[in-house]
Amino acid sequence: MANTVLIGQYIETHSIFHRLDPRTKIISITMMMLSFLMLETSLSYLIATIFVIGFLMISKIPARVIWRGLKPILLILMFTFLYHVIFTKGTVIWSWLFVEISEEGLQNGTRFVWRIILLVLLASLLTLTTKPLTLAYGLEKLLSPLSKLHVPVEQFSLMIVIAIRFIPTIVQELERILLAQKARGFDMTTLPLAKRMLSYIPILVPLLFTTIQRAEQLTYAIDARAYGNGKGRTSYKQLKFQKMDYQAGVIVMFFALTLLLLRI
Amino acid sequence: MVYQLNDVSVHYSNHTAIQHVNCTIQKGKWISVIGQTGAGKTTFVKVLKGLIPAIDGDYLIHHQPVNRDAKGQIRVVPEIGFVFQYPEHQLFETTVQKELAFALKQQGFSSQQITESIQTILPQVGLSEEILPLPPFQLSGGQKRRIAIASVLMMDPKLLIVDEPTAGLDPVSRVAILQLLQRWQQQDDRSLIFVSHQLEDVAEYSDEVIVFHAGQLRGHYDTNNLFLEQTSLLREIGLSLPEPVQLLKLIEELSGHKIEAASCREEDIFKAIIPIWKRRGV
Repeated sequence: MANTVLIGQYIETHSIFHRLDPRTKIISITMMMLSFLMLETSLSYLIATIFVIGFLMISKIPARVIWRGLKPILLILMFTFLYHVIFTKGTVIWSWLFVEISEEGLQNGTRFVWRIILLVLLASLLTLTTKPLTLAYGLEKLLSPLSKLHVPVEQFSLMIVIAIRFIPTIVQELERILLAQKARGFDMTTLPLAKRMLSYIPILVPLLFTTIQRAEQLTYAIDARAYGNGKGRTSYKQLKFQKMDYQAGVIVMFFALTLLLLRI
Repeated sequence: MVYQLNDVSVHYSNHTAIQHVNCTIQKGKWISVIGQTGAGKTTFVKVLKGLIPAIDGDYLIHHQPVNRDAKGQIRVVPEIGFVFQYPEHQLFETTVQKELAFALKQQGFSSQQITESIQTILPQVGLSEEILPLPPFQLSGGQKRRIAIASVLMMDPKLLIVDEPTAGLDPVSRVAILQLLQRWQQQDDRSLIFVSHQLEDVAEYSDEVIVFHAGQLRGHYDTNNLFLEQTSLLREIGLSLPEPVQLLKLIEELSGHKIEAASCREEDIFKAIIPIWKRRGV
Protein backbone atom coordinates (compact mmCIF):
# COMPACT_ATOMS: atom_id res chain seq x y z
CA MET A 1 0.00 0.00 0.00
CA ALA A 2 2.87 2.35 0.86
CA ASN A 3 4.15 2.06 -2.69
CA THR A 4 0.78 3.11 -4.06
CA VAL A 5 0.89 6.65 -2.64
CA LEU A 6 2.48 8.86 -5.25
CA ILE A 7 2.85 12.12 -3.32
CA GLY A 8 5.97 12.08 -1.15
CA GLN A 9 7.87 9.39 -3.05
CA TYR A 10 11.08 10.07 -4.95
CA ILE A 11 12.06 7.83 -7.88
CA GLU A 12 15.45 8.28 -9.52
CA THR A 13 15.25 7.85 -13.32
CA HIS A 14 17.95 10.35 -14.39
CA SER A 15 15.48 12.26 -16.60
CA ILE A 16 15.62 15.94 -17.65
CA PHE A 17 12.98 16.61 -15.02
CA HIS A 18 15.30 15.31 -12.30
CA ARG A 19 18.03 17.70 -13.45
CA LEU A 20 15.86 20.83 -13.49
CA ASP A 21 16.34 23.39 -10.74
CA PRO A 22 13.77 22.75 -7.95
CA ARG A 23 12.64 26.38 -8.19
CA THR A 24 11.82 25.91 -11.88
CA LYS A 25 9.78 22.84 -11.03
CA ILE A 26 7.93 24.52 -8.15
CA ILE A 27 7.06 27.64 -10.18
CA SER A 28 6.17 25.71 -13.36
CA ILE A 29 4.02 23.15 -11.64
CA THR A 30 2.23 25.82 -9.57
CA MET A 31 1.55 27.81 -12.75
CA MET A 32 0.27 24.75 -14.53
CA MET A 33 -1.95 23.79 -11.62
CA LEU A 34 -3.43 27.29 -11.56
CA SER A 35 -4.04 27.13 -15.30
CA PHE A 36 -5.82 23.79 -14.79
CA LEU A 37 -8.34 25.60 -12.64
CA MET A 38 -9.33 27.55 -15.76
CA LEU A 39 -9.99 24.46 -17.91
CA GLU A 40 -13.39 24.70 -19.53
CA THR A 41 -13.66 23.49 -23.11
CA SER A 42 -13.00 19.94 -24.26
CA LEU A 43 -10.09 21.22 -26.32
CA SER A 44 -8.43 22.76 -23.25
CA TYR A 45 -8.83 19.46 -21.38
CA LEU A 46 -7.28 17.61 -24.32
CA ILE A 47 -4.30 19.98 -24.46
CA ALA A 48 -3.77 19.76 -20.69
CA THR A 49 -3.89 15.95 -20.85
CA ILE A 50 -1.39 15.84 -23.70
CA PHE A 51 0.97 18.09 -21.74
CA VAL A 52 0.69 16.04 -18.54
CA ILE A 53 1.22 12.77 -20.42
CA GLY A 54 4.16 14.35 -22.21
CA PHE A 55 5.72 15.49 -18.90
CA LEU A 56 5.21 12.04 -17.37
CA MET A 57 6.90 10.43 -20.37
CA ILE A 58 9.84 12.84 -20.15
CA SER A 59 10.16 12.11 -16.42
CA LYS A 60 10.55 8.38 -17.26
CA ILE A 61 8.45 7.43 -14.21
CA PRO A 62 7.12 3.91 -14.95
CA ALA A 63 3.45 3.86 -16.00
CA ARG A 64 2.65 1.12 -13.45
CA VAL A 65 3.86 3.41 -10.62
CA ILE A 66 1.53 6.17 -11.83
CA TRP A 67 -1.41 3.81 -12.23
CA ARG A 68 -0.84 2.34 -8.74
CA GLY A 69 -0.70 5.87 -7.35
CA LEU A 70 -4.09 6.77 -8.79
CA LYS A 71 -5.83 3.78 -7.22
CA PRO A 72 -6.08 5.22 -3.68
CA ILE A 73 -7.95 8.29 -4.96
CA LEU A 74 -10.49 6.27 -6.94
CA LEU A 75 -12.96 6.59 -4.07
CA ILE A 76 -12.64 10.39 -4.00
CA LEU A 77 -13.05 10.47 -7.78
CA MET A 78 -16.14 8.31 -7.56
CA PHE A 79 -17.75 10.55 -4.93
CA THR A 80 -16.90 13.69 -6.92
CA PHE A 81 -18.44 12.21 -10.05
CA LEU A 82 -21.61 11.06 -8.30
CA TYR A 83 -22.01 14.39 -6.50
CA HIS A 84 -21.97 16.34 -9.77
CA VAL A 85 -24.10 13.80 -11.63
CA ILE A 86 -26.83 13.86 -8.99
CA PHE A 87 -26.87 17.51 -7.95
CA THR A 88 -26.37 19.35 -11.25
CA LYS A 89 -29.65 20.52 -12.74
CA GLY A 90 -30.18 20.49 -16.51
CA THR A 91 -31.62 18.43 -19.37
CA VAL A 92 -32.77 15.20 -17.73
CA ILE A 93 -31.71 12.10 -19.62
CA TRP A 94 -32.60 9.46 -17.00
CA SER A 95 -34.63 9.53 -13.79
CA TRP A 96 -35.65 7.09 -11.09
CA LEU A 97 -37.79 8.08 -8.07
CA PHE A 98 -36.27 11.39 -6.93
CA VAL A 99 -32.88 10.86 -8.62
CA GLU A 100 -32.42 12.72 -11.88
CA ILE A 101 -29.38 12.50 -14.10
CA SER A 102 -28.82 15.37 -16.47
CA GLU A 103 -26.56 15.77 -19.45
CA GLU A 104 -24.86 18.73 -17.75
CA GLY A 105 -24.33 16.63 -14.61
CA LEU A 106 -22.50 13.95 -16.57
CA GLN A 107 -20.37 16.59 -18.27
CA ASN A 108 -19.56 18.36 -15.00
CA GLY A 109 -18.75 15.09 -13.21
CA THR A 110 -16.40 13.98 -15.98
CA ARG A 111 -14.70 17.40 -16.06
CA PHE A 112 -14.09 17.59 -12.32
CA VAL A 113 -12.79 14.03 -12.11
CA TRP A 114 -10.51 14.65 -15.05
CA ARG A 115 -9.23 17.86 -13.47
CA ILE A 116 -8.47 16.14 -10.14
CA ILE A 117 -6.54 13.37 -11.95
CA LEU A 118 -4.47 15.96 -13.82
CA LEU A 119 -3.78 17.96 -10.63
CA VAL A 120 -2.73 14.85 -8.66
CA LEU A 121 -0.43 13.72 -11.46
CA LEU A 122 1.18 17.15 -11.67
CA ALA A 123 1.67 17.49 -7.91
CA SER A 124 3.15 13.98 -7.78
CA LEU A 125 5.55 14.83 -10.58
CA LEU A 126 7.20 17.40 -8.32
CA THR A 127 7.95 14.99 -5.46
CA LEU A 128 8.65 11.99 -7.72
CA THR A 129 11.45 13.88 -9.48
CA THR A 130 12.85 16.03 -6.63
CA LYS A 131 14.68 14.83 -3.50
CA PRO A 132 13.02 16.13 -0.30
CA LEU A 133 16.06 18.15 0.77
CA THR A 134 16.47 19.71 -2.69
CA LEU A 135 12.79 20.58 -2.62
CA ALA A 136 13.22 22.21 0.80
CA TYR A 137 16.16 24.23 -0.43
CA GLY A 138 14.28 25.34 -3.56
CA LEU A 139 11.26 26.36 -1.52
CA GLU A 140 13.47 28.22 0.92
CA LYS A 141 15.17 30.15 -1.87
CA LEU A 142 11.84 31.06 -3.45
CA LEU A 143 10.41 32.31 -0.19
CA SER A 144 13.61 34.03 0.98
CA PRO A 145 12.34 37.60 0.28
CA LEU A 146 9.71 37.00 2.97
CA SER A 147 12.43 36.57 5.60
CA LYS A 148 12.83 40.37 5.53
CA LEU A 149 9.29 40.52 6.91
CA HIS A 150 10.41 38.19 9.76
CA VAL A 151 8.66 35.19 8.24
CA PRO A 152 10.52 32.02 9.39
CA VAL A 153 11.12 30.82 5.83
CA GLU A 154 13.68 28.08 6.65
CA GLN A 155 11.45 26.44 9.24
CA PHE A 156 8.42 26.75 6.99
CA SER A 157 10.09 25.06 4.02
CA LEU A 158 11.47 22.27 6.22
CA MET A 159 8.02 21.77 7.73
CA ILE A 160 6.39 21.45 4.30
CA VAL A 161 8.99 18.97 3.09
CA ILE A 162 8.76 16.82 6.22
CA ALA A 163 4.97 16.77 5.88
CA ILE A 164 5.26 15.54 2.26
CA ARG A 165 8.03 13.08 3.13
CA PHE A 166 5.95 11.58 5.95
CA ILE A 167 2.95 10.63 3.79
CA PRO A 168 4.38 7.28 2.56
CA THR A 169 5.77 6.56 6.05
CA ILE A 170 2.36 7.00 7.65
CA VAL A 171 0.76 4.82 4.99
CA GLN A 172 3.41 2.17 5.71
CA GLU A 173 2.53 2.35 9.41
CA LEU A 174 -1.16 2.00 8.56
CA GLU A 175 -0.32 -1.05 6.47
CA ARG A 176 1.47 -2.64 9.45
CA ILE A 177 -1.51 -2.09 11.74
CA LEU A 178 -3.92 -3.53 9.16
CA LEU A 179 -1.68 -6.58 8.74
CA ALA A 180 -1.54 -7.08 12.52
CA GLN A 181 -5.35 -6.95 12.62
CA LYS A 182 -5.56 -9.41 9.75
CA ALA A 183 -3.30 -11.76 11.71
CA ARG A 184 -5.79 -11.51 14.57
CA GLY A 185 -8.67 -12.62 12.35
CA PHE A 186 -10.00 -9.24 11.22
CA ASP A 187 -9.69 -8.71 7.50
CA MET A 188 -10.98 -5.26 6.61
CA THR A 189 -10.82 -5.88 2.88
CA THR A 190 -13.68 -8.38 3.12
CA LEU A 191 -16.06 -5.79 4.64
CA PRO A 192 -18.62 -3.74 2.71
CA LEU A 193 -17.47 -0.21 1.90
CA ALA A 194 -19.45 1.62 4.63
CA LYS A 195 -18.27 -0.75 7.38
CA ARG A 196 -14.73 -0.59 6.09
CA MET A 197 -14.74 3.20 6.39
CA LEU A 198 -15.98 2.98 9.99
CA SER A 199 -13.32 0.36 10.81
CA TYR A 200 -10.61 2.89 10.04
CA ILE A 201 -11.63 5.05 13.02
CA PRO A 202 -10.09 2.91 15.83
CA ILE A 203 -6.93 2.46 13.74
CA LEU A 204 -6.37 6.21 13.78
CA VAL A 205 -5.50 6.01 17.51
CA PRO A 206 -2.28 3.92 17.20
CA LEU A 207 -1.49 5.65 13.92
CA LEU A 208 -1.61 9.07 15.55
CA PHE A 209 0.36 7.74 18.51
CA THR A 210 3.22 6.38 16.39
CA THR A 211 3.21 9.46 14.15
CA ILE A 212 3.63 11.75 17.17
CA GLN A 213 6.38 9.45 18.47
CA ARG A 214 8.18 9.60 15.11
CA ALA A 215 7.78 13.36 14.95
CA GLU A 216 9.33 13.66 18.42
CA GLN A 217 12.27 11.44 17.41
CA LEU A 218 12.76 13.50 14.28
CA THR A 219 12.83 16.69 16.36
CA TYR A 220 15.60 15.24 18.54
CA ALA A 221 17.50 14.03 15.45
CA ILE A 222 17.31 17.50 13.88
CA ASP A 223 18.50 19.08 17.15
CA ALA A 224 21.26 16.49 17.53
CA ARG A 225 22.57 17.43 14.10
CA ALA A 226 22.83 21.05 15.26
CA TYR A 227 20.21 22.34 12.87
CA GLY A 228 19.24 25.06 15.33
CA ASN A 229 16.41 27.28 14.14
CA GLY A 230 17.60 26.98 10.54
CA LYS A 231 18.40 30.68 10.23
CA GLY A 232 21.43 31.78 8.20
CA ARG A 233 22.34 28.26 7.11
CA THR A 234 24.46 27.95 4.00
CA SER A 235 24.41 25.13 1.49
CA TYR A 236 27.27 23.15 -0.05
CA LYS A 237 25.26 22.75 -3.25
CA GLN A 238 24.29 26.14 -4.66
CA LEU A 239 21.23 26.39 -6.89
CA LYS A 240 21.80 28.01 -10.27
CA PHE A 241 19.39 28.30 -13.18
CA GLN A 242 20.67 26.50 -16.30
CA LYS A 243 19.71 26.90 -19.96
CA MET A 244 17.18 24.09 -19.69
CA ASP A 245 15.44 25.84 -16.77
CA TYR A 246 14.73 28.86 -18.96
CA GLN A 247 13.56 26.57 -21.77
CA ALA A 248 11.23 24.76 -19.41
CA GLY A 249 9.92 28.11 -18.15
CA VAL A 250 9.11 29.26 -21.71
CA ILE A 251 7.30 25.99 -22.52
CA VAL A 252 5.17 26.20 -19.37
CA MET A 253 4.41 29.87 -19.99
CA PHE A 254 3.30 29.02 -23.53
CA PHE A 255 1.14 26.23 -22.20
CA ALA A 256 -0.51 28.41 -19.52
CA LEU A 257 -1.20 31.21 -22.03
CA THR A 258 -2.71 28.72 -24.48
CA LEU A 259 -5.14 27.54 -21.81
CA LEU A 260 -5.96 31.14 -20.90
CA LEU A 261 -6.63 32.03 -24.55
CA LEU A 262 -8.87 28.99 -24.95
CA ARG A 263 -10.94 30.22 -22.01
CA ILE A 264 -11.30 33.70 -23.56
CA MET B 1 0.53 -30.00 12.94
CA VAL B 2 3.31 -30.02 10.39
CA TYR B 3 3.88 -26.98 8.20
CA GLN B 4 5.71 -27.64 4.97
CA LEU B 5 6.99 -25.29 2.28
CA ASN B 6 8.03 -26.86 -1.02
CA ASP B 7 10.14 -24.79 -3.40
CA VAL B 8 8.48 -21.54 -2.30
CA SER B 9 9.50 -18.19 -3.78
CA VAL B 10 8.04 -14.74 -3.13
CA HIS B 11 8.44 -11.94 -5.63
CA TYR B 12 7.67 -8.32 -4.83
CA SER B 13 7.27 -5.71 -7.56
CA ASN B 14 10.95 -4.82 -7.68
CA HIS B 15 12.78 -7.77 -6.08
CA THR B 16 12.63 -11.41 -5.00
CA ALA B 17 12.30 -11.67 -1.22
CA ILE B 18 12.83 -15.43 -0.84
CA GLN B 19 13.56 -18.08 -3.43
CA HIS B 20 13.25 -21.88 -3.64
CA VAL B 21 12.62 -22.35 0.07
CA ASN B 22 12.07 -25.92 1.26
CA CYS B 23 11.30 -26.32 4.92
CA THR B 24 9.32 -28.42 7.40
CA ILE B 25 8.19 -27.11 10.79
CA GLN B 26 7.50 -29.93 13.27
CA LYS B 27 5.36 -29.50 16.36
CA GLY B 28 6.73 -29.11 19.88
CA LYS B 29 9.86 -27.19 18.92
CA TRP B 30 11.29 -23.74 19.52
CA ILE B 31 12.64 -22.85 16.09
CA SER B 32 14.63 -19.66 15.61
CA VAL B 33 15.07 -17.87 12.29
CA ILE B 34 18.29 -15.92 11.88
CA GLY B 35 19.98 -13.92 9.14
CA GLN B 36 21.05 -10.41 8.34
CA THR B 37 18.56 -7.59 7.74
CA GLY B 38 16.85 -8.14 4.39
CA ALA B 39 17.76 -11.84 4.31
CA GLY B 40 14.10 -12.91 3.95
CA LYS B 41 13.25 -13.89 7.55
CA THR B 42 10.11 -11.77 7.88
CA THR B 43 8.83 -12.77 4.43
CA PHE B 44 9.36 -16.45 5.35
CA VAL B 45 7.25 -16.16 8.52
CA LYS B 46 4.60 -14.08 6.74
CA VAL B 47 4.26 -16.91 4.19
CA LEU B 48 3.71 -19.39 7.03
CA LYS B 49 0.92 -17.24 8.50
CA GLY B 50 -0.69 -16.82 5.06
CA LEU B 51 -0.16 -13.06 5.00
CA ILE B 52 1.35 -13.17 1.52
CA PRO B 53 -1.53 -14.17 -0.74
CA ALA B 54 0.48 -15.05 -3.84
CA ILE B 55 3.49 -17.37 -3.67
CA ASP B 56 5.27 -19.66 -6.11
CA GLY B 57 5.54 -23.26 -4.89
CA ASP B 58 3.44 -25.31 -2.46
CA TYR B 59 2.47 -24.70 1.14
CA LEU B 60 1.10 -27.76 2.96
CA ILE B 61 -0.39 -27.84 6.44
CA HIS B 62 -0.55 -31.35 7.84
CA HIS B 63 0.05 -32.69 4.30
CA GLN B 64 -2.96 -30.76 2.89
CA PRO B 65 -2.62 -27.72 0.59
CA VAL B 66 -3.23 -24.46 2.43
CA ASN B 67 -6.70 -22.86 2.09
CA ARG B 68 -7.16 -20.51 -0.83
CA ASP B 69 -10.02 -18.15 -1.72
CA ALA B 70 -12.02 -18.12 -4.96
CA LYS B 71 -9.28 -16.09 -6.67
CA GLY B 72 -6.68 -18.72 -5.70
CA GLN B 73 -5.05 -16.46 -3.11
CA ILE B 74 -3.80 -17.95 0.14
CA ARG B 75 -6.00 -17.30 3.18
CA VAL B 76 -4.65 -16.31 6.59
CA VAL B 77 -3.92 -19.47 8.65
CA PRO B 78 -6.06 -19.04 11.79
CA GLU B 79 -4.27 -21.60 13.99
CA ILE B 80 -0.99 -19.70 13.67
CA GLY B 81 -0.49 -16.71 15.97
CA PHE B 82 1.71 -13.88 14.75
CA VAL B 83 3.31 -11.20 16.90
CA PHE B 84 4.80 -8.46 14.73
CA GLN B 85 7.87 -6.34 15.44
CA TYR B 86 7.12 -3.62 18.00
CA PRO B 87 3.61 -5.05 18.58
CA GLU B 88 2.83 -2.38 21.17
CA HIS B 89 2.60 0.14 18.30
CA GLN B 90 -0.34 -1.81 16.94
CA LEU B 91 -2.53 -1.66 20.06
CA PHE B 92 -5.66 0.28 19.16
CA GLU B 93 -8.49 -0.47 21.57
CA THR B 94 -9.42 1.91 24.38
CA THR B 95 -8.90 -0.59 27.24
CA VAL B 96 -6.67 -3.62 27.83
CA GLN B 97 -9.80 -5.76 28.21
CA LYS B 98 -11.08 -4.78 24.73
CA GLU B 99 -7.63 -5.25 23.24
CA LEU B 100 -7.40 -8.80 24.58
CA ALA B 101 -10.95 -9.60 23.51
CA PHE B 102 -10.55 -8.29 19.95
CA ALA B 103 -9.58 -11.52 18.15
CA LEU B 104 -12.10 -13.75 19.94
CA LYS B 105 -14.86 -11.21 19.36
CA GLN B 106 -14.10 -11.36 15.63
CA GLN B 107 -14.48 -15.14 15.80
CA GLY B 108 -17.90 -14.84 17.47
CA PHE B 109 -17.01 -16.10 20.97
CA SER B 110 -19.44 -15.26 23.82
CA SER B 111 -18.57 -12.67 26.49
CA GLN B 112 -18.27 -15.42 29.11
CA GLN B 113 -15.85 -17.44 26.96
CA ILE B 114 -13.79 -14.30 26.33
CA THR B 115 -13.65 -13.46 30.06
CA GLU B 116 -12.53 -17.01 30.89
CA SER B 117 -9.80 -16.87 28.27
CA ILE B 118 -8.57 -13.52 29.60
CA GLN B 119 -8.40 -14.98 33.12
CA THR B 120 -6.32 -17.90 31.79
CA ILE B 121 -3.95 -15.82 29.68
CA LEU B 122 -3.17 -12.92 32.03
CA PRO B 123 -1.22 -15.00 34.63
CA GLN B 124 0.67 -16.70 31.78
CA VAL B 125 2.07 -13.35 30.69
CA GLY B 126 2.65 -12.20 34.27
CA LEU B 127 -0.03 -9.52 34.43
CA SER B 128 -2.86 -8.98 36.91
CA GLU B 129 -6.54 -8.28 36.24
CA GLU B 130 -6.18 -4.79 37.69
CA ILE B 131 -4.87 -3.48 34.39
CA LEU B 132 -7.91 -4.63 32.39
CA PRO B 133 -9.84 -1.33 32.56
CA LEU B 134 -6.74 0.78 31.81
CA PRO B 135 -5.97 2.23 28.36
CA PRO B 136 -3.01 0.27 26.87
CA PHE B 137 -1.16 3.51 26.14
CA GLN B 138 -0.76 4.23 29.87
CA LEU B 139 1.30 1.07 30.46
CA SER B 140 5.07 0.68 30.39
CA GLY B 141 6.88 -0.57 27.26
CA GLY B 142 7.34 -4.09 28.67
CA GLN B 143 3.71 -4.29 29.83
CA LYS B 144 2.44 -3.11 26.46
CA ARG B 145 4.44 -5.81 24.74
CA ARG B 146 3.06 -8.46 27.10
CA ILE B 147 -0.46 -7.24 26.32
CA ALA B 148 0.28 -7.46 22.59
CA ILE B 149 1.60 -11.03 22.98
CA ALA B 150 -1.33 -11.96 25.26
CA SER B 151 -3.81 -10.65 22.68
CA VAL B 152 -2.37 -13.12 20.16
CA LEU B 153 -2.19 -15.99 22.69
CA MET B 154 -5.93 -15.44 23.32
CA MET B 155 -6.51 -17.15 19.96
CA ASP B 156 -4.88 -20.31 21.41
CA PRO B 157 -2.56 -20.81 18.43
CA LYS B 158 -0.94 -24.15 17.68
CA LEU B 159 2.10 -22.36 16.34
CA LEU B 160 3.21 -18.93 17.48
CA ILE B 161 5.44 -16.73 15.34
CA VAL B 162 7.23 -13.88 17.11
CA ASP B 163 9.18 -11.40 15.01
CA GLU B 164 11.95 -9.86 17.15
CA PRO B 165 9.85 -9.81 20.31
CA THR B 166 12.60 -8.39 22.52
CA ALA B 167 13.77 -5.56 20.24
CA GLY B 168 14.13 -2.30 22.13
CA LEU B 169 13.45 -3.77 25.59
CA ASP B 170 15.62 -3.45 28.70
CA PRO B 171 17.43 -6.66 29.87
CA VAL B 172 14.91 -7.48 32.62
CA SER B 173 11.87 -7.09 30.33
CA ARG B 174 13.73 -9.06 27.64
CA VAL B 175 14.29 -12.08 29.89
CA ALA B 176 10.70 -11.84 31.16
CA ILE B 177 9.32 -11.97 27.60
CA LEU B 178 11.61 -14.87 26.62
CA GLN B 179 10.66 -16.85 29.70
CA LEU B 180 6.95 -16.33 29.13
CA LEU B 181 7.37 -17.52 25.55
CA GLN B 182 9.31 -20.57 26.78
CA ARG B 183 6.62 -21.44 29.34
CA TRP B 184 3.94 -21.14 26.67
CA GLN B 185 5.88 -23.27 24.17
CA GLN B 186 6.63 -26.05 26.63
CA GLN B 187 2.94 -26.49 27.47
CA ASP B 188 1.02 -29.05 25.36
CA ASP B 189 3.85 -29.63 22.89
CA ARG B 190 3.36 -26.26 21.16
CA SER B 191 5.62 -24.82 18.48
CA LEU B 192 7.23 -21.41 18.39
CA ILE B 193 9.05 -19.62 15.60
CA PHE B 194 11.35 -16.93 16.93
CA VAL B 195 12.84 -14.39 14.52
CA SER B 196 15.79 -12.65 16.12
CA HIS B 197 19.14 -10.93 15.69
CA GLN B 198 20.10 -11.75 19.29
CA LEU B 199 22.13 -14.91 18.79
CA GLU B 200 22.67 -15.28 22.57
CA ASP B 201 18.89 -15.67 22.98
CA VAL B 202 18.72 -18.02 20.00
CA ALA B 203 21.47 -20.25 21.50
CA GLU B 204 19.81 -20.19 24.91
CA TYR B 205 16.25 -21.07 24.01
CA SER B 206 16.08 -22.78 20.58
CA ASP B 207 15.84 -26.44 19.64
CA GLU B 208 16.45 -25.75 15.97
CA VAL B 209 17.68 -22.81 13.89
CA ILE B 210 16.78 -21.84 10.32
CA VAL B 211 19.44 -19.73 8.62
CA PHE B 212 18.53 -17.25 5.88
CA HIS B 213 20.93 -15.38 3.65
CA ALA B 214 20.11 -13.18 0.63
CA GLY B 215 16.62 -14.64 0.25
CA GLN B 216 17.78 -18.24 0.43
CA LEU B 217 17.35 -20.78 3.20
CA ARG B 218 20.94 -21.81 3.88
CA GLY B 219 20.13 -24.57 6.33
CA HIS B 220 17.89 -25.92 9.07
CA TYR B 221 20.12 -27.01 11.96
CA ASP B 222 20.04 -28.42 15.44
CA THR B 223 21.00 -25.40 17.61
CA ASN B 224 24.05 -27.04 19.22
CA ASN B 225 25.29 -28.31 15.89
CA LEU B 226 25.00 -24.85 14.30
CA PHE B 227 26.74 -22.83 17.01
CA LEU B 228 29.39 -25.38 18.04
CA GLU B 229 30.21 -27.04 14.70
CA GLN B 230 29.04 -24.82 11.80
CA THR B 231 30.92 -21.69 12.81
CA SER B 232 32.35 -21.14 9.33
CA LEU B 233 28.83 -20.87 7.84
CA LEU B 234 27.89 -18.15 10.31
CA ARG B 235 31.07 -16.21 9.54
CA GLU B 236 30.47 -16.62 5.80
CA ILE B 237 27.05 -14.99 6.00
CA GLY B 238 28.28 -12.21 8.27
CA LEU B 239 26.84 -13.36 11.60
CA SER B 240 28.92 -13.50 14.74
CA LEU B 241 28.79 -16.33 17.26
CA PRO B 242 26.92 -15.93 20.56
CA GLU B 243 29.26 -14.43 23.17
CA PRO B 244 29.59 -17.56 25.40
CA VAL B 245 30.47 -19.62 22.29
CA GLN B 246 33.03 -16.98 21.27
CA LEU B 247 34.65 -17.35 24.70
CA LEU B 248 34.68 -21.14 24.35
CA LYS B 249 36.30 -20.93 20.92
CA LEU B 250 38.90 -18.44 22.19
CA ILE B 251 39.91 -20.72 25.06
CA GLU B 252 40.04 -23.70 22.68
CA GLU B 253 42.36 -21.69 20.41
CA LEU B 254 44.63 -20.57 23.25
CA SER B 255 44.82 -23.99 24.90
CA GLY B 256 45.04 -25.94 21.65
CA HIS B 257 42.48 -28.46 22.94
CA LYS B 258 38.88 -29.04 21.96
CA ILE B 259 36.51 -28.40 24.87
CA GLU B 260 33.40 -30.57 25.00
CA ALA B 261 30.34 -28.55 26.09
CA ALA B 262 27.01 -30.34 26.61
CA SER B 263 25.23 -27.62 24.62
CA CYS B 264 25.69 -24.07 23.39
CA ARG B 265 23.68 -22.70 26.30
CA GLU B 266 25.53 -20.29 28.57
CA GLU B 267 25.31 -22.53 31.64
CA ASP B 268 26.71 -25.60 29.82
CA ILE B 269 29.53 -23.60 28.29
CA PHE B 270 30.60 -22.21 31.67
CA LYS B 271 30.39 -25.73 33.14
CA ALA B 272 32.85 -26.86 30.47
CA ILE B 273 35.18 -23.86 30.82
CA ILE B 274 35.40 -23.46 34.63
CA PRO B 275 37.32 -26.77 35.30
CA ILE B 276 39.96 -25.67 32.75
CA TRP B 277 40.34 -22.29 34.45
CA LYS B 278 40.62 -23.99 37.82
CA ARG B 279 43.31 -26.41 36.54
CA ARG B 280 45.31 -23.41 35.32
CA GLY B 281 44.87 -21.73 38.69
CA VAL B 282 42.91 -18.73 37.36
